[in-house]
Amino acid sequence: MDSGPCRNDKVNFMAAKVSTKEIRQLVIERIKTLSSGRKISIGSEGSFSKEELIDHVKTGDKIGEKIVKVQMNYLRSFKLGFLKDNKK
Amino acid sequence: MKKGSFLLTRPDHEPTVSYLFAWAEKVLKSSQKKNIFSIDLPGKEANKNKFVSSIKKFKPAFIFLNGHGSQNSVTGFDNKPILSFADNEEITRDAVIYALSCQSAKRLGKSCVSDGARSYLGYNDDFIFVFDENSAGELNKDQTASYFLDPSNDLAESLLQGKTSGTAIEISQSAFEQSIIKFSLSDATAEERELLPYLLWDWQHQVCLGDSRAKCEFISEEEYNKQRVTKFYILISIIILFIIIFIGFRFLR
Repeated sequence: MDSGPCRNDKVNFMAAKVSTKEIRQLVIERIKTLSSGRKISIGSEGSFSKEELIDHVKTGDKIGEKIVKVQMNYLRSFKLGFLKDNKK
Repeated sequence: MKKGSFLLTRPDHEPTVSYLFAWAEKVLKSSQKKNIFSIDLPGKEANKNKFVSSIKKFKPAFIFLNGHGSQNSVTGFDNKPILSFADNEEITRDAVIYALSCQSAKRLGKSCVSDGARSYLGYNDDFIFVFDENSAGELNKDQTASYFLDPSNDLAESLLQGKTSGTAIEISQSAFEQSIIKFSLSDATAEERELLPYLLWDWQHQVCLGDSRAKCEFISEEEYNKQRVTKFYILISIIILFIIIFIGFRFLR
């Protein structure tokens, strides 16, 4: 079951309407490709393996939302152009 | 510009900060090689009392904070705050600060600059890095983590070399950019490409607040000790002078 702050939102992703559920699935697929043995440290939240991250994304908790934000930021950067043009 | 020391905090109570601890040691060694008077607060010594007293005593020109953080604070050992918004940010007056911690540039950094810090370099969102679990024991040799922590060290090293805050952040940004560009090319490996979202994130959220022309001049330990001896002799001279005046007065009466 979906949960989290933007459960039923529709977002404009690369000119297409994509549901939060679809975005989460996309992020999960991306996380699945993370090399085994690697962990991601997210500040004081802790360090997470890909399996743990996938669980967090599925749950839609704070860590899951953060990782979705990071991955979507990267994907959006293709549209906006990398580096100089993309500095916030 | 007044010369000052170099102060760094580096707790080591859990895996993430242990990485920062190990990488900051490289910066410490480099500062010692440059004969910069360096005050290291490692492990349990990275606490608020030691931090505040060290700043008051050694007046650092450059403060390098490693630890967890939030909009309102940077923490030391056991995640206890050592520098906090609306608490003790005025102790950073006249210093250049680099905080390798999450989010602290969002509010705390601005407050430090308002309270007299010359510049505050850090991150206005989470600092995220990827590491190799199998590197336990030799954290500072983890190639995966190096793509994130080397650009960070470049910033600290640049400040130790006397470069301006603006130049230091440009050098760090450029190091991030090199990896981002390299890993975006078609010949990049899958292991390299998977780092891109996190490198891009850190690169985007690294900021310099305050005066980008601010740079540091450092004092050596010898100079510091010499200053202390000079201050001691001045104090003794003043006391002797007072004694002579006092005896003279009594003699005249």
